[in-house]
Parts: sequence; structure tokens; C-alpha cells
Amino acid sequence: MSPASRTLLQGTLDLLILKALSLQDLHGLGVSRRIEQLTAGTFQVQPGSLFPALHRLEASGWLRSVWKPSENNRRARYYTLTARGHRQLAEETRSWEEVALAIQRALEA
Amino acid sequence: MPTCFGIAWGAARRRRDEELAAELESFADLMVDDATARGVPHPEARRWASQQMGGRTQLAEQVREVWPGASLDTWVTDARLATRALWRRPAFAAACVLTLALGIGVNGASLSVAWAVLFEALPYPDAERLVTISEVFTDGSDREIRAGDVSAWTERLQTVTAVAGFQTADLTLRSAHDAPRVVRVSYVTPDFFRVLDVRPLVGTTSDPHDRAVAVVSTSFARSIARDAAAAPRVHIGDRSYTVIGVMPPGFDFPAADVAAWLPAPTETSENSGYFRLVARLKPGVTVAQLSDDAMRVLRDVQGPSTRNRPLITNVDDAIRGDVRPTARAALVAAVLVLIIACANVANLLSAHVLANRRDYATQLALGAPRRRVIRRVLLEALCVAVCAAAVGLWLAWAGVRTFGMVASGLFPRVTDVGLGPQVLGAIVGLTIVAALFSGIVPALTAVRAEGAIGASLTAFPTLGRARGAMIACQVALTLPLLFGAGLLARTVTVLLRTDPGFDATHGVAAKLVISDNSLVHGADHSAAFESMLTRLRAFPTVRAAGVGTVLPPRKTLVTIGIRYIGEGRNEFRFFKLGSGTPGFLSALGARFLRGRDFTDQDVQVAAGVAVISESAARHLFGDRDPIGERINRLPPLAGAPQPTVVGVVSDIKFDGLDAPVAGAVYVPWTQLATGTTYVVVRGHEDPMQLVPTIRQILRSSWPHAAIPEIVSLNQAMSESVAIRQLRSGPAVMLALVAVLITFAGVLGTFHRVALERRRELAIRRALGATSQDLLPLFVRAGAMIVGGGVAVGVVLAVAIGQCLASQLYGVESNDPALLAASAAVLVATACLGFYLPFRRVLRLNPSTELQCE
Repeated sequence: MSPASRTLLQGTLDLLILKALSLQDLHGLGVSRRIEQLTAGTFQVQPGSLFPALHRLEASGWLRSVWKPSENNRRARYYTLTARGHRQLAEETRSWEEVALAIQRALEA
Repeated sequence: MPTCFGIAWGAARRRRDEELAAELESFADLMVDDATARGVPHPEARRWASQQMGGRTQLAEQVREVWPGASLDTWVTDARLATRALWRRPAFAAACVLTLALGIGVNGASLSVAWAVLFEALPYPDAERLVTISEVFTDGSDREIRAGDVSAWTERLQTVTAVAGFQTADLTLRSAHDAPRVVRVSYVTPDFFRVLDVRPLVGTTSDPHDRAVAVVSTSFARSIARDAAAAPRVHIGDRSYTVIGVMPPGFDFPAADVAAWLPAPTETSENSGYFRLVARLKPGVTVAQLSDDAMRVLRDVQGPSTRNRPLITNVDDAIRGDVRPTARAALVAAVLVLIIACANVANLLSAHVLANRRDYATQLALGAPRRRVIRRVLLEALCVAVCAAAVGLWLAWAGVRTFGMVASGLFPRVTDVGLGPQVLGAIVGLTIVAALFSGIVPALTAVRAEGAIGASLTAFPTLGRARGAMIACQVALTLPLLFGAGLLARTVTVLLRTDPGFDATHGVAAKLVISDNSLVHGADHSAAFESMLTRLRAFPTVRAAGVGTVLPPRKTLVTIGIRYIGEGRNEFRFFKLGSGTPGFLSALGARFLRGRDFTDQDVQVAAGVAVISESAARHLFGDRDPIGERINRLPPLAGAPQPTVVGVVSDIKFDGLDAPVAGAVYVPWTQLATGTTYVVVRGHEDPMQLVPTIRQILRSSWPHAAIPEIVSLNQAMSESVAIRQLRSGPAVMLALVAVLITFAGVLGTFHRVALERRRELAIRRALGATSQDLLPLFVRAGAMIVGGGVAVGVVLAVAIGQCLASQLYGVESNDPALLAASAAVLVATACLGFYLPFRRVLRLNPSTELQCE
């Protein structure tokens, strides 16, 4: 992956994580699976990107985490979207749509 | 407090680390579960999961980087590494810390002094608008305003908001409890405190109804508290005053030792002498405008033809102007010492980095960012600098304390000199700057070590250009310090060897203050002196004794200006006068070139005789023999006829060893008596042995008079050089510190060079080379560096000499011998610094050396 697309992905990853968590609370692997599912397999988030992003979003106050048992009874850290996280998701979605539209227009011109 | 914070921070961090590990572990387990659920056999699932996870440590590190406070963590880690690296080499660390501590210490001390005289405001509101006014006579000498003219001045000056007159006097303080003592008082006119605009700490400063009131200083108020408790009155001189106010500490106008401010006599009939004026300029008025205004008043008062000029001096300049250049010079010298110290620590740290270059190379090879390596070395430098600042602060504190003791009485407002918040702030700033200065070269050296990973220790360059340049820089900066200190020290020694014009070795002088006017002019008082001198002379150890009104350099001659009008002339002539009893000049040790001293017959007022000094004789009579000649131009003094010259003595340096001599005319004591006299006694041996005898006889002859001091003539004379000693002492110390630091730097650097080359040297010796063959190796490297340093240093030294020229006496500002000597000291020091490490390495056994790597 070229550096240019990676920088694009950086913002995208945050957006995707927020989106994934907006539907339900998930642990790390759950987030990864949900993103894969949401993007129909286009993005496979590796732990090396996932965990720094999760921790960064939590440090920004958009996520909150709790330890609880998973579906198959393992202790796992579950992430929840906070109120600020919901607002951030809305804002990022809007700006993403603007950017996407602008780029689409640019490419069609 | 920081420790508690550190522990809490550490605990929180550990908890987060554990949680992260658990999260990653659980993530891996969930992946395995996932894979097994899809039918992958367990061991394979595990392998796949750990493959997906990658390096768990690296992953954890990546996560930690996004944690809040992550950068602080790495700083803490680096700082810990830096302290540990220094801790492991205590001798090296101590050398660095001490070097820099000396640099920071001298800066702290110099800054304290400089701050006090350059920036600290005087304790008077808008002090820059305060000026003193006096007159300058045509001969350039500064004269004060006649008492009778003061009111004319205060009424007519238009460019000032207020103006007042003041004069100081030494008066005797008598109390019921203690022996009489002398206090300095200032007679002031009514507006004095309004001009200075300072409120009293207690009480008031003006009392329109009672003339006999005193405003006193805080320290004086304390000293008289016991007497004043009963009634707030003090008996000063021959009058009693009611104390109405106490001025705050630090109020020190016109002098720091003024104990009381007394109302100046208002009647002009009282012969109250001369006053200096102190005035507050109206806002926006310049000194030049006041000067014009004052010239107008001067013409009004003295007539339009006056040739005198007003002299306006800023009060702050008058108090501290003299010491400002010295303070600036001290600051510059201190900064030079700090630069030398920084260069030195930079060299030592570079050597340290070079010794550990494999570590740095390994770190860089493993992917440590360059800025992290640079930061680690800079933190080492900062660590050294912080420790040095602690030691330096202590040194500065000790220096300031010592200065306070040594300079008390010599230096204006010496109590202002201290480690105030501004100085402490400056020290913190200097510490950071010093850390950067001394850390940057080693840091770059560390980064450049990249290629050294596989290199053998002996393969590294012996002495980098940077290290050589820093030694040269130290030498170049030390030389001017050494030379400057040498010039100042030489000035002091030349002055102390200067002939004062009299033999100061066996004389001792007691100051006797008989301020009561009735005592000064009474006939019985001559008799009292006569009987006292007779008793003194009766002692076998006393060679001569006399009483006079002058004492070099404490009390100089009185200048009298006489105006000649008529015969087409209108000019001033100035006579410098002194007086004494028979025996005074002999007791002082003045050399009689012709004629004789006064005799008891001369004391009769009608006699009219004078002893004149060598240059006065030349001035008044040219080549003629002055004995028996009459001094026509001198007006009659105290009713005596114009004096006839009976003797000629050597010129005496009344104004101090560094001042030019002036011709003097001495008349018998009765013709020019003052309230303050000096009893001078000449003995055979150590004159200080006479002190108890003198004190006892003076006490019994003058039970009501104060004897503020008894001092040997030698000591009194050398005190005229004290301010120069105050200047040269610290200068010499600074220079020695600089030499010491340079020596340590050369030694440290070449110690490292010698260690680095010991294998090579061992091989050469094993092949038969002797010390004599190998010495040039070191000498050549050293000579280039020191030679370059000395060459630059000589230029700087000559420049320093130029700056100091005005403060020198009896030595040229570019004295070649002194310059050569300074350079020689420095070269010798540097050579020793080269030689000692070299000798140490050559003493090692070559065969053991060759086996060790």
C-alpha cells in the first residue's frame, strides 16, 4: 500500500471504527470482523492498526471500555461509543460525504 | 511532592500495561476460538493467530505511543538512562559538575552584584528625576553652595518641583549609658524629605514649631532605643533633639551611614558652611534644561561675571556610577568563565560519548531515531547542568556573603547585593543554556557514531576537530582573563609600593571628635592638647606626637579659593591648607627638606608662620629659597599676619595613593581649627602596641569626646587602594578558576586521547620506540591547538587591556611582559595537561596492553 493511500486510510479507519461501534458494543476482534463485514471484505484491519486506533479514540473520549465476558465466555475488553463519540461520528460522516462528493466531482469533470 | 507524583504515575502506568497485555492476550484467544469454530485444528489455529498478531512487544509499544503522556514517559526513561550513565562514572560526573558549577557560581555571584548596581531601583520614587547640584570652580574642582545662598537657589530654580540643601557632619553622641561615640548626621533644609519623596517608617519628617527635631535611621533608632524609651530625645553634638520620625531601612541619602537628619540652621549669621543641593526635576525636564536654569540662578546669586558653572549630577550616578563599569566587567568575565566551562564539559562529554560509541551505534542500528539519541545525550548534559546549578548556587551564595563582608563600606548599597528572584531566574536560564552548549557537540558526536558498530576502539580518530577547537577556545578565552586580572593586580601592587610622601610605617592615628563649638575655639582647649601631647611624649616608645586637622587619606586638605580683583586682574587662586600642632608633621613622618617644624612659640597667634610642601614652594617661589619668605597671597587666617615660611616638607598624597599630589600650606593648629582632629603618634616599632596607651591618655584628657577609631598610618593609606583590591581580588580569582578549568579540560581530553592511542603506543614501544621518540606525537597535537588558542587570546587580551586602561595605574594596558607571562602560564598549564596523561600511558606495561584487546 502506498503512503498516500495509508494517510487516507488513517482517517477512514477512525470513521469505520466509530461506525462499527455505533450499532453495538464490541471487543477488538468484533470491531475487526464488523468492519470487514461492513465493507464487504475490502478492509481487513490488522491488530497493528486496530489497537493504536482504539486506544487513541478512547484517549480522545469518543470510546469507553469495560471488561466483560464474551459470547463464548472469555473475558474481553468491550468498547462503547460515548455521547461525544456519536457526535464525532455524525461530524466525520458529514465531512467524509463532502470529501467523497468533491473527489467524485473532480474525477468526473 | 514530585516523588509522590512519580510513584503514582508509575503505578498507573503499570496498571495500564497489564491491562493492555491482557487485552492482546484475550484478542489472540478470541482469534483462536474463531478459527477452531471454523474447523481449523487447535495448534494450527494458535500459529495462525500469533502470525496475525505480529510482534506483541512492538504492538504494545505502538499502542503506548498513543497513550496520553506517552512523550513524558519516554522523557522519564531517557532521563533515567542519562542519570544512570553518569552515576556509573562518578569521577567523570564530578569533574563535569564541578567545572560547570564554578562557571554557574561565578555567574550567580557576578549577576547578584551587577543586578544590584545596574538594575535594582533606588528606594526613591522616580529616582531618575533626582539630581544633586553643586558648583564647579574655574580650576575644575567641585564646590558646594554657600549656606547663605541656599534660600536664593530654592526660590529661583524653576525647572524643579522641589529642592533642598544638605551637608553632613560627624557629631558626638552622648548617652547616659555608653561612652560617647561619633555619629554621622546630615543637616537638611525643610524640603529635603519632600524632594526625595519618602515617607518615614514611624512618625513624621516635619515639625514647623520645634526647631530642635531629629529624624533618625532605623538602625540608629534601634541603637538608641534604650535611652529613647524614657523620652524620645537624643543629645547629638552640643544640642538635644526630639526624635519625631524614623526613616525606613534602605533610606541612605546622602550616605549609607547617616544616623540622623537634623534641621539646618536657618539664620545666615551662623557660620554653617556649605551645602549641596538635591532637587527633583519637573516631569519631562532634562538635565540640560536644569543646567541652563541653574546657570541663570548662579548669575543672579554671584553676579553676571561669574566664571563658575553649575554641576548637575544624577543621584543614581553619584551613588552607583563609579562601580557600574566594574560590575559590567565582572559580568563579562563571568560569562567568559562559563563559556570556558561549557567548552570543557562539552569535551568531557564528547570523550564519554566516544568511549561508549558502540552503544550508540547499536542503538542507531536497531532503529532508535536520531533525535532520541541526541535527546539522551542532551539530557546527560542537562543532568550535569542541574547538579552544577545546585553546587553553583551554593558557591554564588558563599560568594555574595563574602562580598558583602569584604565590600561593606566600599561598595554602594552593598545590602542590595543578594540572590534575588531575578538572579535565581537568570541562573535557571544559564543552566539550560549551559546544558545546550555543552551537550550539542557530544550529541552530534553520538549520532555520528553510527558507523562505529564494528569498529575497533583504536580505529577511531584521536582528537576530533571539534574537541581541538574547544580546547583552543578555552585557551583563547582564558588568556584575556588572566591578563586582565594581572593588570588589575599589578596596579594594586604598584600603588601599594608608591611613596605616599611620608613614612607611614611607624605611625598611628586616633580620630578625635570634639564637635562642641565652645571647645574648638577656647584657649583652654589648646592647653588640654598640650598636656595630652606632653603625657604621650613622656612614653619612651613614643618618638613624636602631634595633633592635626588632616590625615592622608582620610581627611584631605582644605581648599580655599581667593579672588583677586584689581590691577586688571580678576582671577581665583587656590590654596590647599592643613594645620597641626608642633610635632604633627614629624609624627606623620613627613620629610623635612628645608627648615623646621612648628615650635611652641609659633602657636602664638601673632607669629604667622607656615610650613609648605615641595610643590607649593616651587609654585609660589620658583627656584628661590622659600625659607623666610612671606606668602603674600594667602589671606590672614584667624587674625594671624600673613605667614612666613619656616620649613619645606615632602608632598603628601592626601587624596590617596592613586591621586596626584597638590601643593600644601600648613599653618599652626590655632589658626585653622576644626571639630574633628587626628592625634598622630610615631613609635619605634609596631605602632599598634601604642594603641592602649593612646586610648587611655585620650580618654582621660577628653572624657566627653568620642574616639571613633585608632588606625595605623599604613593601614589607613592602603585603604585608599581598597576599592581597587575589591576589583582585582575577584578578577584574580576568576582568572585562576579559568586556568584551573582549562587545565582540567586539557587533562581530561588528552587522558581520553592517550587511552585511545595506548594500543598504538604499546605497539610502537614494543618495536623499540622510547618516550623521547613518542613525546613529539603528543606535543605536535597539543602545540597546534594551544598555539592557535594563544594567538587568538593575545588579540582578545590586548582588547581587554584597552577596556581596563582607565582603571590602571603604573602599568601599561598592553604591558608586553605581563602578556608574555600570562601566555607562558597558560602554555605551561596546557603542557602539563598534555604530558600527565601521556606519562601515565607510557608507564603501563606494553605487553599487558597488547594482550588486552
